[in-house]
Amino acid sequence: MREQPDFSTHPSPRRPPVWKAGLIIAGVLALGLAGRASWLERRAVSAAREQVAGARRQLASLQSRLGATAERPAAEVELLSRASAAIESPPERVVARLAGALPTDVRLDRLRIEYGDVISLEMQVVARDASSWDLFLARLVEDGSFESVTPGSERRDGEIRSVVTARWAGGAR
Amino acid sequence: MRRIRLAALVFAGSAALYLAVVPPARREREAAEQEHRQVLEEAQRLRVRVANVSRLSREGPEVRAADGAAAVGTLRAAALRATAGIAVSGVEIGTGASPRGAVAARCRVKVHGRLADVLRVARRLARPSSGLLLDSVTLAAARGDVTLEAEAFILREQP
Repeated sequence: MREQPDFSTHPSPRRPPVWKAGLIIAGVLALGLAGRASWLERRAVSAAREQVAGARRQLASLQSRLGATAERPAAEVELLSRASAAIESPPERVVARLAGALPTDVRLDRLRIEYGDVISLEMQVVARDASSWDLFLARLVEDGSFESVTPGSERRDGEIRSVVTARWAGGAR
Repeated sequence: MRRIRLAALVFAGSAALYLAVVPPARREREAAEQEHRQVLEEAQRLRVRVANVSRLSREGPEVRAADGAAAVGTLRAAALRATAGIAVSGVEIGTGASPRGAVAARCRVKVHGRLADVLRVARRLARPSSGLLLDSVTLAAARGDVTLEAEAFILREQP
């Protein structure tokens, strides 16, 4: 007797290739990793912001202490603060830092240091040429001890004579 | 085919999530860290300032005088001490009493000499024990050397 084909059962479905399932699993893993990286980075942002807020609170408390510490009139505290700035950043420290930033072709003709809540500097500078002048300005900015570096007017043919104003940020280190 | 599309969608979603969140958050964190460093530096400067102001306010007679005449005398003596024994020339000391306000008297000290020497004078003037409070300093190149001009003051004694 010949064996008849069996039509009574359904054909078993074809199983998807393993690599396709692997692809989906890899995708889900990538999504998980991206989610985790995002969460960690956001958490780091929150932590950094909290640190900033804490430091700002500390700063505010120091500022109020500065006002109250002397138990004296505000005008006097301002004068004492000015004098304190001179103690923290005596002229020789400012001059030494400036000398380090001066290229060989640049000379400082005049330097005025004005002490106050901030220490203001006014420099009368002579540079042999435009490139030395540019280098001097770049060094001042890069140094980190000088803020708000503002060059005065300049004529870029030949020797440059100009005035640079800046704020001393060297402080008491 | 459907599974490949689904996997591609999941990969694209991961990349989009990563790119939308991580790089901006990293920039934000770096900016916050930079700000934190600056605030800490500022706080450190302020801490030193508070300590100095507190000390100066306690020092009393050293940076204070009862009246204009006494203030002028104290300032003059402090200026002379600052230049004593240092090889500087053209020493000029100008003093003037202030009739009212927290400042009792002001003085202007001018000296000429080698940079190292005028800086020594400036250092003495800036010291807390100098007996005067430094307001401003001007250094100017002159005749191959340097001229220092310093402005200082002394506080009025509080009743």
